[in-house]
Amino acid sequence: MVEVELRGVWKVFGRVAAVRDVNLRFPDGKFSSILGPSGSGKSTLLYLIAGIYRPTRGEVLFDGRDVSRVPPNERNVGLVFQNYALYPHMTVFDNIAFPLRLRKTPRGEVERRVREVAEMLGIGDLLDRYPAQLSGGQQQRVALARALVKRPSVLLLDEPLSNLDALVRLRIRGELKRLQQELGITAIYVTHDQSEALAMSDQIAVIHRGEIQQVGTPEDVYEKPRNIFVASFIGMPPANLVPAEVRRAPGPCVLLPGGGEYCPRGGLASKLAALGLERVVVAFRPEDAILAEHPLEDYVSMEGEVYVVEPLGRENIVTLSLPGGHSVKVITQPVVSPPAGSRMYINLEPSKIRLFDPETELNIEYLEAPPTPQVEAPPPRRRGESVEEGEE
Amino acid sequence: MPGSRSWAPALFLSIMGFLVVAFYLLPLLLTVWASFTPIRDWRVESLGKSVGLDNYRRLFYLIRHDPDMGKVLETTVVFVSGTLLVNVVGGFLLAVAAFLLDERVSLGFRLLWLLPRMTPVAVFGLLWYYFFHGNGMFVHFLQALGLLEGPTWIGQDQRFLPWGAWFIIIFVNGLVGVSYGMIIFYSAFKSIPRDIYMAALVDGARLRDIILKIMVPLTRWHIIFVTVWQLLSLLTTYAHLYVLVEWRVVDKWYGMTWSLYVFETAFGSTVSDQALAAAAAVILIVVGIGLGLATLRIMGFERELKPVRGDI
Amino acid sequence: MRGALSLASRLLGRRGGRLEEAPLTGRGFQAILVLALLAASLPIILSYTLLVELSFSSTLIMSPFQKTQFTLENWRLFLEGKLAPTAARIYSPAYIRSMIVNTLIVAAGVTVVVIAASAPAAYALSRLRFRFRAATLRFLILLHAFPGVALIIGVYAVYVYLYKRLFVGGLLPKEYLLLYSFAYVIVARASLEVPMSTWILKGFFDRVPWEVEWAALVDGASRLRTFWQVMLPLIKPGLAAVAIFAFMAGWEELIYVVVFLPREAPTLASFIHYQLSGGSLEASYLPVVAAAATVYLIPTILFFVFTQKLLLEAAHGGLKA
Repeated sequence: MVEVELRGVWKVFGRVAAVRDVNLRFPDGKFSSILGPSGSGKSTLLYLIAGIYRPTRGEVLFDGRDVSRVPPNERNVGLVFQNYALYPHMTVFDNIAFPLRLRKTPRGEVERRVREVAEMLGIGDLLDRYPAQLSGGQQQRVALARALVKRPSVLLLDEPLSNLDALVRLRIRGELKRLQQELGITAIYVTHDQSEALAMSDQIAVIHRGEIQQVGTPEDVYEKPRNIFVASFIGMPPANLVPAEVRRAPGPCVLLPGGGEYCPRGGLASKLAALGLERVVVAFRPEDAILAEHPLEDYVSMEGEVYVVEPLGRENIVTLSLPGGHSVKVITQPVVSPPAGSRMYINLEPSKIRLFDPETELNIEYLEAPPTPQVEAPPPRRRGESVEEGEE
Repeated sequence: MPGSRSWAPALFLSIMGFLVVAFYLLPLLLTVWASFTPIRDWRVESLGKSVGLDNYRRLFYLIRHDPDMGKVLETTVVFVSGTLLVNVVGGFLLAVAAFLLDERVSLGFRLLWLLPRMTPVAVFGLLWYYFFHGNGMFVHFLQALGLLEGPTWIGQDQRFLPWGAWFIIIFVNGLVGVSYGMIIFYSAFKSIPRDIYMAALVDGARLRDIILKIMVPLTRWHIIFVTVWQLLSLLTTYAHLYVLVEWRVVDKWYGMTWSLYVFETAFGSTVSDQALAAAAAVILIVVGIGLGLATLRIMGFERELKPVRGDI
Repeated sequence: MRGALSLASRLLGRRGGRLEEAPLTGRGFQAILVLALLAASLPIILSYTLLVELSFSSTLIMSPFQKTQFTLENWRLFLEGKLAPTAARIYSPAYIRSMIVNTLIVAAGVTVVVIAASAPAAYALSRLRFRFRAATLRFLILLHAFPGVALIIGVYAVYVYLYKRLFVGGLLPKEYLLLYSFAYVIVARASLEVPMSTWILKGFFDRVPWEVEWAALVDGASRLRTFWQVMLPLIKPGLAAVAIFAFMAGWEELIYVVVFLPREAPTLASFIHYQLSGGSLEASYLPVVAAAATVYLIPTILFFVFTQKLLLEAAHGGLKA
């Protein structure tokens, strides 16, 4: 197994940069995800690792060895495509055996290894069929078997579950994770589905517009989004974003719409003070808010007007509008179902509140406070510029 | 942009490349070259000598003074424009009819009209040899109408020249060419969303309106494409004409277009003047390249050009 | 209005919508249309019928309605090489057989050369990145449209030149002359089909998902193996279409055969041509020629029966007036 690393990788198609200056490390034997919306460059990133694309700039390293110019057939990677890309004119057996035969593996060993991997994936009885005779889930397993049979040093998965129906997807998700752990293989998984990434990964890299937004454990990415994009992309529904003013004196406090006031403490307070921001974006997750008819003690509270209640069975999603026209969503117990138009309080535990710089869109926790207090604001940074924390 | 491994494209293109060089580029150069040499009777050694523009002078002298050459030019103009009209208008009408008809009947007719295109030239020639025979079906038909008496080769008979010969060559080549437009137009009609026809019907359009205000404008580019492409094809086609002339179905000169003139001059049993033929061919080449470039523009070549993905 | 209604009923399908109330109008209009088309098709129908009927006819009929007796005599004469009932055996049965074989050789040869040249080229044009890719594609269209009569002069000049070097120069014994002629006519005729065949096959390659090819390359296959083991099997329908068109082109060819093959080695095309050209008809007997022509037409008919769809859909650009 190998550790895969991207160093300063760019990929430019014509005049469009699909991948910009990506620095990423995929640890040996771990399950890593590349998570991003469609068109974010995540598949391009995977194809750069597979060797289907060559970086316009930068390097792809396998265990420290630069493989940027090595063609895919010499990289020993296993790749599972979104549409599986099975060879329609070959049986399942021949599909799986194809990579081995290309390596002139002895006939007996081909037979043994194909059966072995097919048994492992539960498709041992389908070997004589053609891909068109298989269900989506079965095709998916064949594609996986074909990728694994050559004992690749890294397994690349390009949205392998997105063409399956919901139930099959859940089952295979679990199997895939278990398989990866059993084999101890380095796996890189591309997906637009945050729940997949959160459930399966040891490490998640969030990508947007060709740039890495955040790299971290699922907990990190969920609890401490590095910027507004990550906060708004992850979570179902995603985090609420509310612009708010900052009162500088005596200590810095955030004045929320709807009356609440949030005065951070400790490091965050001094950072906020040092940054000298006048406005921030407040983010909180719908499941972290408590809806009540009164403000709760020790909580930060905002008053809002109930707009609509969507009952989802296990829970309700209540949409409220705040003064200033912003709407927020709160997940509540199914019994909490306030009538539309009623006024309710959104109560937030202070530790669940995240603050973002509206200018750079970065989480203030991740911002470095300027060294001297005279400096009023950090140097202006445009959205999407590469930032120091990009590397793990 | 990093290229593929450099040997791969060359390897894959090698056979085609050889054929293109050996059977297009080299012959093209030779033909142009030959038009400046005194080659006759396939004495290829003569290709080493030059006669300057003599062959072109001879060609233009013939055009001005040889009455047969005048017939060739006249025939070329009448044949190309007449057949073009048949092919485009006829193809369009056939396509409309096929489109309106019940699918199975339509399929039968489309196949029937494709038959001439797929029939070997020799057999097709034979069919019309019988048909326009001095005692053939066509003459029978004219006799039944009381327009004609006794056996007559209308493509040869002085009384009916030149139109008798012209009628036959346009008829025969029209049958071959008309299916091209039919296929293109038919699939163009099929590709217009049904909603549009339905909307027109709901708006009260009649069949005539639908044809003239929907089908014609929406297949405008197809019509232009077919016209230009057929124009080019008709200028260069000669196999069917060759058979009709050689088998004496039609008059030699009123059945001969410029292309056939080039062929007969180079390969004829009586003349074997490759130098003159080459000079005549060069004129055809110039026209051909011009029309070919026009076709390229019309067919929206760039759309066909899908980008290569991957850097392998 | 009749037309519009029939159009509507067509668009809605037989059992669709309220316009079904007017099927009679629709059918009436369709009937008129069918009659008009039949009238226009009459010469085609009559001519083909006459040809086949004549080959089974005991007398020389000039229209399909003339009375005649059914006979297999013409077929017997044709297969025995007698071209007139009274004539002595002009050709041997072996000659007739070799004529059919010659036609097959040319057709099969053209097919092989066309596929061998255009399949790899089409793959490269669809999938490989190289300079002049767009230019090459554009050039192919121009080549397809190129006046063949202008080329054939140069092509024949090369033929004569090579002939003189090889046979007059004494590099090869005369026995190889026929082989040379066949090889030359096959390759020369195939070349005319190559640009459009390449273009059609490129379209088929374009439709294979890139992922399938990438999968092969990631699995460790070389370009050549990917082409041969993965891509070629996936465009079999395209290969079949191109092969059939190439075969038909070779099968029906007249001009190149007349120009390049000696008169002693005719194909069915040149045989019919020699019977009819220049007034030599007096010596021949039309019903027997009709039998030859009917034999000649058989592949076309088979082709029609088995590949209707292919013919009407896949072959757009491949056809020339």
